[in-house]
Amino acid sequence: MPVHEIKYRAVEGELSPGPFRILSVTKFTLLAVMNKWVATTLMAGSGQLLVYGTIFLIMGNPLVRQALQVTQVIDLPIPVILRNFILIQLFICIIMANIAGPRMISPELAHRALPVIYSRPIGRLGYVAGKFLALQVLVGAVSWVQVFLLFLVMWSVLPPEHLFHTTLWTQSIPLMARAMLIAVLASLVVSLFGLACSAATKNFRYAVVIFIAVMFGASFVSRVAQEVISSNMPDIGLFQVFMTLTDQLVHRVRGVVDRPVTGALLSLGVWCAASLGYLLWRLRPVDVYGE
Amino acid sequence: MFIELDNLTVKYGKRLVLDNMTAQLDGRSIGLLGPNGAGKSTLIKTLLGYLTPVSGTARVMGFDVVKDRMKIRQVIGYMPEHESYIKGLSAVRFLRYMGELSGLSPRAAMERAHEVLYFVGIHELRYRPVETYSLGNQQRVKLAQALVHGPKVLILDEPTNSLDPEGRDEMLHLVRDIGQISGSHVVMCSHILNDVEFCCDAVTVINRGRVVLTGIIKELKKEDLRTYDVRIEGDRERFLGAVASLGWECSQDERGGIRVKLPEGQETSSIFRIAAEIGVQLRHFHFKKDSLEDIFVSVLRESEGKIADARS
Repeated sequence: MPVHEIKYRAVEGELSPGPFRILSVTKFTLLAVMNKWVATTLMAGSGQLLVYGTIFLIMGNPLVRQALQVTQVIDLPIPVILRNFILIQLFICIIMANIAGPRMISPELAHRALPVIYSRPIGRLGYVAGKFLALQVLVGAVSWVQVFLLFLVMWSVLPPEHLFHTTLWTQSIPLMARAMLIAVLASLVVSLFGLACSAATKNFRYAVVIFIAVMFGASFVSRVAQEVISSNMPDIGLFQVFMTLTDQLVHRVRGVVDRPVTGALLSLGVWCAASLGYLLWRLRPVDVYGE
Repeated sequence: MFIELDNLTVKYGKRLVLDNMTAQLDGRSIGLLGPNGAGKSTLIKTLLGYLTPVSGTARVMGFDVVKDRMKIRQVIGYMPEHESYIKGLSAVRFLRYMGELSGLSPRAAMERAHEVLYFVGIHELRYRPVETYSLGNQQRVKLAQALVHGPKVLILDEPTNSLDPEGRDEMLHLVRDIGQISGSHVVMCSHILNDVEFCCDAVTVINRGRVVLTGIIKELKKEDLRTYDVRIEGDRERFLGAVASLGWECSQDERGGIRVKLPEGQETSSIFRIAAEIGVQLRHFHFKKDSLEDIFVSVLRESEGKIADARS
């Protein structure tokens, strides 16, 4: 029978509301990105740090040390553990955003899929939100999820007489909350920035280059401005900003790097606003035809 | 009517693209015709809610293109002119994605994806990534994604682009049958007049941002029983001279055809008589029936003339 003689029926049943459509964007973006071995490997690899952290904490437990006959272990204070953990995870978070982010929108621009996506009842904001959630699944897994897991590991592994438990409500939880805040901010900023880079070009390789160039460029400009104009100028390089936040909020090293938290938060706000603004401007329905 | 345009004006920056466009599109399938830059694509983008009108209104199935964008997108299926797919996704996954975005449940979207891919004839390729398909099959995937949620209005922008003759024929049959059996309204935008004539009942011609003609194709192509297309063997100049000397309107085209318009009161046999008198043979004799191309060309000429008059 010729294909055009096959009849097709009308659609029946209820249509799903808006939020579920956003989740569809997330789901299918992840399906497309997770095909890439790099993203999959990195995501799997990022868990390794937690494993190391767990081993480290177990080794910090006197009972475990005794059982394993380990005699010399340096018992690091929690802020130091957290600081190092956050900074290493932040580095992985940026790498993850740089690998996965550019692959989220560029391929759809390259093959002009956006006109058909926008012809569905999902707005530009819904589309961006779906993409953001998809990147959050990857970047969040190596940032705030890891911090949360670290908290759970500490809570369950460290002995009851440990300072972590004795000062749980007064020090440990506020400290972990601040660490979590930094991790959430990090994942938010790098996700938006990764998506903005992806929207900037049809070739995701160029987006990767743009991501690196802008990050290093911002650090360079920031350093030059501090050298030339004033040493009190706030950092705009992402890594310096997070170093400042971590030192001031978690490690509490005042005086060593005496930069105000407000300047760092302002810088993050600028990164977020610029990335989101560019994303929404670049993905205007009338501009996605690539004509 | 499923599309109503009321003094619709759309600009790109300062450039006026749709100029007080007013029309009511009705019928099961409509061909949207016009020269390059006439405003066809802009009209489609406006109907989809991608562009906001400067003034005037447009409604699709009773929904306003500005206030009810999301409602319009629930009832519309759009097949763009250019390639449109997500690299790495198979056809069935791509269609499922589009179905879910339209509001179908994952299960219903999966069912529809298989069903529609079967309908367009690429069910055997459905698990292969779309980028590995031939251009013809990519066109079918585009058609399938426009159909997956069972739209009430289907907008097809150049559906036969980059298809070989066989693929083109199959695509045209699909489009025609969608209009006839699915209950959807079809708006087909094409430069190929034969394609529009094959698939559509009605036609709307746009020129310089204005609707210059809209109507049922059959009615527009009504036969003119006073005008005849004639082909002769013999002295052409003499025949033309004889007809002109009687005061009848006549013209000839570059392919050797002669068109004669009989004045009121004259019988068809008059043409035979003249031919016999001057000794030429009539090889073809038929009353005039405009092709869609004739209508299109004459409407555009008329529209350009009006614009030139208005300017002068």
